Amino acid sequence: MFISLEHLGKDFRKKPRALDDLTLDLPSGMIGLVGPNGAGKTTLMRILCGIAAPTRGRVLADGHDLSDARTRRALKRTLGYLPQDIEPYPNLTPLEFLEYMGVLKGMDDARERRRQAGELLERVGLSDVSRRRIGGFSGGMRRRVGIAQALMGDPRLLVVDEPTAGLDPEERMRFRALLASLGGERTVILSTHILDDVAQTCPYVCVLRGGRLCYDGAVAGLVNAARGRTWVTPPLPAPPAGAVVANAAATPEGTRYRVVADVPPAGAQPAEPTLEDGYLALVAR
Amino acid sequence: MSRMLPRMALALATVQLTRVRGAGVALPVAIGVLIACVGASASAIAGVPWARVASVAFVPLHSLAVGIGALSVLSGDALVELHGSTPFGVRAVQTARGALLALAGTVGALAMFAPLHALGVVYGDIGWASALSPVCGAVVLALTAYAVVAIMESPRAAAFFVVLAWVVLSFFWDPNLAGDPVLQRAVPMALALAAAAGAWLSLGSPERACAKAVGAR
Amino acid sequence: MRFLRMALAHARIAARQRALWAASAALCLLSLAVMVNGNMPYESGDVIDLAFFAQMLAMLPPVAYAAACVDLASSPVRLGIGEVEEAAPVAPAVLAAARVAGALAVVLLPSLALLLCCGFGQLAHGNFLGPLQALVMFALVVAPAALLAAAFSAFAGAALPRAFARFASVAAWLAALALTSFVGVPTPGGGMRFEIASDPALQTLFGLPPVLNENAAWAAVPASPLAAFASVAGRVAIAVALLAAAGSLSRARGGRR
Repeated sequence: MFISLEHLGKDFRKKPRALDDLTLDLPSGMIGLVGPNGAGKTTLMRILCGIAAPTRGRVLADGHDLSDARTRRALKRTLGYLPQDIEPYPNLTPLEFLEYMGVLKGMDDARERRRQAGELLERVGLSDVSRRRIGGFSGGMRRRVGIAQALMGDPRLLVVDEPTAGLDPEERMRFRALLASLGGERTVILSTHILDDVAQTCPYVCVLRGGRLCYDGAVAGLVNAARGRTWVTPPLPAPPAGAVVANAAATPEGTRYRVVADVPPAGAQPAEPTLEDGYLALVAR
Repeated sequence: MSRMLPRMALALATVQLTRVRGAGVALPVAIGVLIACVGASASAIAGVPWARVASVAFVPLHSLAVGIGALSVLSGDALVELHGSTPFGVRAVQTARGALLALAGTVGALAMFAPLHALGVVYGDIGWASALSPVCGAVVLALTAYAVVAIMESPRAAAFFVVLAWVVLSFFWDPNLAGDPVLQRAVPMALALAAAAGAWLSLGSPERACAKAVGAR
Repeated sequence: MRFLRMALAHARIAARQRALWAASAALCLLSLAVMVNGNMPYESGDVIDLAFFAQMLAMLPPVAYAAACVDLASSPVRLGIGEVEEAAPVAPAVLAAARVAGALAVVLLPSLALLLCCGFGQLAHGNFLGPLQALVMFALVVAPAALLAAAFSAFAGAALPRAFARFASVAAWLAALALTSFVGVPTPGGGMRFEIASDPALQTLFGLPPVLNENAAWAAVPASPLAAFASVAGRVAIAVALLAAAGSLSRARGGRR
């Protein structure tokens, strides 16, 4: 699915502007959506999911304008959404919950719903507990149910907000593998604060700050934003002035800081930049 | 598409039944049956005339059960945002739930009224037309809950208004129109339907529904 | 002081829900409307009219408190701050009490305001103790009734699924009202009629007849001062016990996740 945003803007009453003149083309495949808190990521996702309406501009999905109610409804049939805070109904089993979501997504065929639900539960590793009530699940298991419901109906657009929050390392790896298998013709928008997830799964990344687009392009391009600007200091008693600290490692002699700066701190050695360094180079200016 | 709509509507109602079956369906029906049993026992123990007078106190409890059950089902849904992202949307989901609640309330009211009417325990009984009072009372409270949940941000405030509606209906309105079930219920139904229509319009904005849901947490 | 500050924080939360104010005020006005066929308490100098209104405030609005307060004990666990509160050096019962006190203080403000207005109205009609009497009635009758109803609700909310908790707590409150507020009065024809019994504290302190229907007052025994004390203290004690139990139950259920 090809998503196009044209001069998108969103205002809320008595609040700073959430989105400001956003123009962007989102290709199919995995797209990371990152930015500081309050950057407008959740607002953008809600607009893409048809939950919120933009104040200005428009969104086109495969050339169709989402301001039209019928287009929105059609898009929702092929949409999978995993909000940040999702609490599946505790008194339903995962199977029942997925069938419930299948109906809401317009899946007409009861047999197909049941088949897909079983298949998805297997994929997220919950087939053993498919008939147990969700209320007794751990946080990670509930999140996996949330992921499974997003995949019901074989969506062409998948929007996931902080999907790995609260998952243990093993579950995070499993989810990454699942996400990686979803790309192709689908558009998967992954909003997360965990840049490592973006680095591992997304070839394309968008960075928002203050409702505006800071960067959109290849992940490698964002990494390059910090090339020649990433340094590791010798042990110091305090962070160097004027530099953005990406990491700190305590040593007996002091603390070694990994920083992003135009001018290298005294005695610092250049370092190979990561996506985190590139992100900081962009947003911490 | 037009042939699919009734089928999808039925599918929507069926899955919403899994959500509302406890407080929304079982409770009103069970309370209706319970009140009928209480009335029957009272008439057997204390006599029909006494039970008839006492029915003024316990029959209105059924509509209260419907209103409170409706509140519990319609408010505090953790998946409002998710519903908003589906083709059916928040409005269809809430309206389907409200309709099921009203239907269950009607069934419960009839389950309560029929035995009491047969035993002659209904106060001011003018025949089967008197069934209008408990049936429409249940529907009025279900519609009221549907309306206040859509408009209020807080489940607590919604509970206040549902109870307020019940107190006005049971303590002020009904006693003054005891012998005329049609007039007794026409005005409250008209008001409740108007409120529900306003709620239906309000639910048309999933953004507003999501904002309310966040506030309600 | 710490209890007051905690209660104030919860009162602030409740005060920001404007709909609560409107609903609470509407219920109070409805309680006043019950008296429309007789003397309105603000246009007479008779303390009995004021006491009657206080009794209505103790009977009607608490039905809503019983329905509305089911989440008072369980909301911190649900919102995820239960563990943070547990890590604080405050007894759980004190925490629960502060939460209830804060929320109730806000929903009771319309009752207090209306009662005081009527007290001042009585002052204008010759009852110089009107405002003070209104305060005492609020403290001894209206507030304890509200506290007890809220406690029923909080306990039901902690013990039962929320869907059934609302109805269970309202049913419990109505049953408590039926058992304590109604007295059987023999009729001349040999039958029995149920009259609304006056609150014992209102009888003892303000001379309210034993039943609200003055014509049937002869048939009921007036309450003693001991009964009045027991009524007030009993309500508060039961409420506190229910709230403590609700707090414990909520934590136990939240800890099992």
